[in-house]
Amino acid sequence: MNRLYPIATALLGLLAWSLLARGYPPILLPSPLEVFQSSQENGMEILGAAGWTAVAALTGLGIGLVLAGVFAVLFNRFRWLELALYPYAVILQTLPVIAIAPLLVVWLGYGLGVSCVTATLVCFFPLLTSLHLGLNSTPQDGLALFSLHNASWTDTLFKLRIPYALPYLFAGLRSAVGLAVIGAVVGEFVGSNGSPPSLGYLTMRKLRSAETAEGFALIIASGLLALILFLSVRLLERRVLSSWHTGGAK
Amino acid sequence: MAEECLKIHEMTHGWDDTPALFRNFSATLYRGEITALVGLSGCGKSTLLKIASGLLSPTSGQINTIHSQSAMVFQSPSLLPWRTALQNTTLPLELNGHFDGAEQAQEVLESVGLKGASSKLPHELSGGMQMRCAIARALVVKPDLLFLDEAFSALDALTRKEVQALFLRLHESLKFTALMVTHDIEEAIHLADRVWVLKGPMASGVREFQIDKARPRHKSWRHSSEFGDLCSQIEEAL
Repeated sequence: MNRLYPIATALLGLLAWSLLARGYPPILLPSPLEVFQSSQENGMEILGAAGWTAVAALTGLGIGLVLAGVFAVLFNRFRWLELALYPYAVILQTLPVIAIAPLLVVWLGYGLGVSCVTATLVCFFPLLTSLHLGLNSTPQDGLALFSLHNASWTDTLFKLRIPYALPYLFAGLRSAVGLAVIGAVVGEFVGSNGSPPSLGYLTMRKLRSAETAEGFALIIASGLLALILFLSVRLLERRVLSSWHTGGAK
Repeated sequence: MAEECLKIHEMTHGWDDTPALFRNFSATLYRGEITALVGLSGCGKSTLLKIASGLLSPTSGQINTIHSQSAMVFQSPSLLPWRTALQNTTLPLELNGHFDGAEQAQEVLESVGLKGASSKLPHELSGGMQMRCAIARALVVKPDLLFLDEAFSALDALTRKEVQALFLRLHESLKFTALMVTHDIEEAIHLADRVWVLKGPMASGVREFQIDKARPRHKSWRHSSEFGDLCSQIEEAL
């Protein structure tokens, strides 16, 4: 029964969109039907573009995860490093990616590299904060137990701190995976010359040439890509955590 | 006189902005005995337990330990939720570099009455079973000195008595030395050979009550006048 509510919301939204589109020319606001027809006609092109954007988003997410993991562990181990670097991680988060992207084009040239870096930049901070919090949230009794048995730093990290940090990591990943798609698409707006043809690049090209229905189809494809990646993270979270952690993975 | 197992000598401990919790504090644990540490909230019971176990370094003074292996049971079972009862029990062995301790851990689990629960995760165990698993995890390393930090206080009354009885049975067979923090005077008298009453801050020692009652102690002892007198004396000392 509860699943009917979001379906009803979607149907109502489509109805409202259809009614609203009647008052405007398709070049300004195409109807859902026109967008659907466009996505059918350009299905293979959209699918291919979504594939390239997914590659950029997942590469960025992967690099962001590795960097965030390394820095979170170092911050946990060396308090002075946290004090020295954490403020700059916050500043990095406040920089608008759209403003950095042209600079990345100067440095890296056109191509997937720019969108990978923009995806990394936007997902790094939520991953770092969640992992940092997770690694610092190990129960004191657990730390005392490991200390009493003279556990090594690596044993404490891998057998205690990281498992306890996993729920925090997945919370961060859920935010970061959507941001990675946004970061990749923004990077493609600026840093792609059509080789490979990605969602961001095609969206800009279609909207510039007033192919609004095609542009809408690509925007919806970007949203669906983020949704698929988000659901994949939820699925992974459920597989990893559901046997012992009750929160978040339902 | 019994053999000494742990000796705290002229230990001072405190924090910069508060009066010292302990000043030139001295006390001794004797081998094979259970010593209960009671005191009002904030008097430093848990701090003393941490210092005695080596988890906390005192500001000054000496802690002389004549034991080879120690273990601790915490107030909450503190089992790792992603490891089964057996895996939790083998954990201290793994940390000590022994990765083939499953058989040994299984034997200890059986001794605490968890024979059929070794493959269960902590959330599949009741509170009493979790605490028994925590005791098994402590005993798997064959400690000659066991620390208990209000280990039975989070259990309901019936389960607490059941786990206390198990603890006494294990002590009878394994003869470990134990230092247990408790806020329950009756528990202290029922389980311990000595009860230390700690009065802080600035404590320089403990007021010690010897519990001269032979083991095994029957639960009817709790209703005797001797038991009641000891309760009154300790309450007065607090």
